[in-house]
Amino acid sequence: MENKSIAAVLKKNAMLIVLVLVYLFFLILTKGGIFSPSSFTELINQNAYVYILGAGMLMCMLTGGNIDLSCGAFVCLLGAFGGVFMVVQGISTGLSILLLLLIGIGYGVILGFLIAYVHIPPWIATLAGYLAFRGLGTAILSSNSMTGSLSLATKPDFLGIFYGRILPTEKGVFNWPCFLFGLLAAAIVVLVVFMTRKNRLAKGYEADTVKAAAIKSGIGGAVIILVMTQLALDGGIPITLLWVAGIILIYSFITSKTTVGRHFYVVGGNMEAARLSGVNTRRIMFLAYLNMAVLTSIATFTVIARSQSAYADVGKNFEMDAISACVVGGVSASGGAGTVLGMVIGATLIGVINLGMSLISLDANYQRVVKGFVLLAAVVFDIVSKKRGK
Amino acid sequence: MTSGKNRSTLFGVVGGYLIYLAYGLFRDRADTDTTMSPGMRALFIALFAVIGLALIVYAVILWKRASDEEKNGAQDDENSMK
Repeated sequence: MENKSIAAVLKKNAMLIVLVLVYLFFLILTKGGIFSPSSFTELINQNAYVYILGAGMLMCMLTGGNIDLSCGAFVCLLGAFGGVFMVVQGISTGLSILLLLLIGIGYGVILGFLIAYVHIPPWIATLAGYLAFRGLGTAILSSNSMTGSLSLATKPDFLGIFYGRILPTEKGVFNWPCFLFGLLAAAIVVLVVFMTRKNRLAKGYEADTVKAAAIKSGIGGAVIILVMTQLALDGGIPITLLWVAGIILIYSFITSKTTVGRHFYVVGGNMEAARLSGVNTRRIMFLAYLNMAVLTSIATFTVIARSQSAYADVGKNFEMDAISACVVGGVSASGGAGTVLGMVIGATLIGVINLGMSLISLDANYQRVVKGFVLLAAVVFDIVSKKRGK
Repeated sequence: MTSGKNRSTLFGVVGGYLIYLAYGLFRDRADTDTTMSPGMRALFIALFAVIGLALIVYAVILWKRASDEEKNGAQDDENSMK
């Protein structure tokens, strides 16, 4: 029994174990470089868009393996609009953000309508965006700038909302607010794990043993404190971390604690059965793509704020990064299975691999090869899991 | 679209992406500022192109299977209503 439970734990946490092993691998290869405070900040800032788009892609994939191929190109288009609004037209930051969100919502409504009510296959509907938006974004930038890009460096208020740090300190000076925030977050994690256990037992469900809950919450808390300590040494909490954490928490709640969240799983598990059970499957599909468009808008803000410019190449391969994060994180290609935590682990794994490869100055061509193999491994894992499930 | 067809679409997209990676390696073959030898480059181009193509073929097979299941399911419904 003991061996079975260890095997079950290993299987359940396979991707987390892989993440730890890959991290240790790069820790040795980079001689500790990947553990430096600036590496933690870089990991978060560089991969914020993957977490945000991954949350949206997760909701789409839950409905039956549906994907959005247009999100990367839409980031380019929205970035172009953002540059034009703020730099060329001189519109205020607040109004620009609102306009961009409205454009995102508008696109989401159209896309959701076409997919959910007109029944255009999602890959066709979003392929049209993939092909059209980048060209449109490039044309907008070219017609408003000699260099084909628009600098946002003169917009500190926009940059301050989506990039930079909370209560920053000099690098090397310990940022106490950041560390205390980490302690608070760790305490909340421990509390939530034990409260969840208590609630499950009260309702007669199976729950972790006290030992398992203590180990789980202990490890989670320790990781949070470790990360926040490193960020405290690097000048404070990155603003992108707050956006990413907020989105992850919201979507964790939606997918696990709300009726509409459960409906996404039900629709993905068996759409016909869901429809016959009274679930409004069209509305769920509509919401999936509307949600994706809104999250793409938020991802755009973080990306153009980090690069401090809107440029034509922004968003290239973002859709593949988001899909990779979901597939690597265990989201089923058939739909109906997958969690936000799984997506986060998948995105972090890909982020660690990308960061590790750039820290060891691995040739760009070899980096491409590694990315290809990671995605391939995830697909093979999905195929094998599906066959075993049968 | 059924989840079977969506799954096949996803595999098709991944297969296409691998072919795109192979194309990227081929396109940059004249790049001298690289540690990748021509032999290794050729190997990876061939590997990704073949695997990408195989995934696309698998995706087509899955799609056909899902279409047949849909058709059979519709026929069963018709028969049970008679």
